[in-house]
Amino acid sequence: MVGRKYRAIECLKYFNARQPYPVLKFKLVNLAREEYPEELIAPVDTGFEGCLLVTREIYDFVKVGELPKSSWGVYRTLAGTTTMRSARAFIVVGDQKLPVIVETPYFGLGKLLIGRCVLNRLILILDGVSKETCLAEPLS
Amino acid sequence: MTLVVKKIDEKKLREFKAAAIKRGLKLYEAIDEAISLWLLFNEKILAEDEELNHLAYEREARKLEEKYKGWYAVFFEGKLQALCKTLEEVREVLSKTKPKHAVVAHIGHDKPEVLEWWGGSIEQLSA
Repeated sequence: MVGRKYRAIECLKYFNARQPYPVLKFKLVNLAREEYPEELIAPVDTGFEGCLLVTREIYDFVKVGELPKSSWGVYRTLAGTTTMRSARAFIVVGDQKLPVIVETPYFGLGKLLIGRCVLNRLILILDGVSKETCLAEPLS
Repeated sequence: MTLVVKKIDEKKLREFKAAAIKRGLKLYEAIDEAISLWLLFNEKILAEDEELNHLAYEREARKLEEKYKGWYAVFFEGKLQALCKTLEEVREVLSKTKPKHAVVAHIGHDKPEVLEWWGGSIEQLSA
């Protein structure tokens, strides 16, 4: 609603590029309750309908919770369809622990992206002027 | 880099050195090659294990659909290892056993999906 106010809880600078882009920091936990050794920072991609796209190396860490092949996601892209390997895992963003499906292309090396399936569970402020992404909560 | 390794089997090491000399390789070159081969072999074994887990799921899928809708089925080491009512139970099983790969099926819920990936991750290579 217009006029609603939010309190920023945690902010992260946009990644520097020709056109800087918003990123989100999170921890990745696999189904064997192991935490990925480092915090990950992924570009925010509202065009990606899935939860989390990762590189093959990161996917190896979550494949202890892989979905059956018949349930792997297929994505329609501008360049045709792409089949993904898919696995269950959790991400921790701020103080929220979210169950997610982690994906990596069946062919190719993949890249790191946070998609709408995660973004739609967060209050996120994209402050393009200050070049900051902020996790927020409503100011009641 | 320099590497010191203890407790190597002397007989095996002698054979290894002899084989390296026969091929005109220095010891470090032979060890380097052995490490690469071992990593490749390991990766191949893991890929085969993964395939076995998927095959095991496919064998059981229909039976599970009939009896265990809503449950989670956990497959590793090429067979069905656990049936769990919640994802928390699945985590309990996997955290105790720590397999390198497992297929976790949410029976009756996991369906193939066609999703959208717009142009959001397209980067400009040159201006």
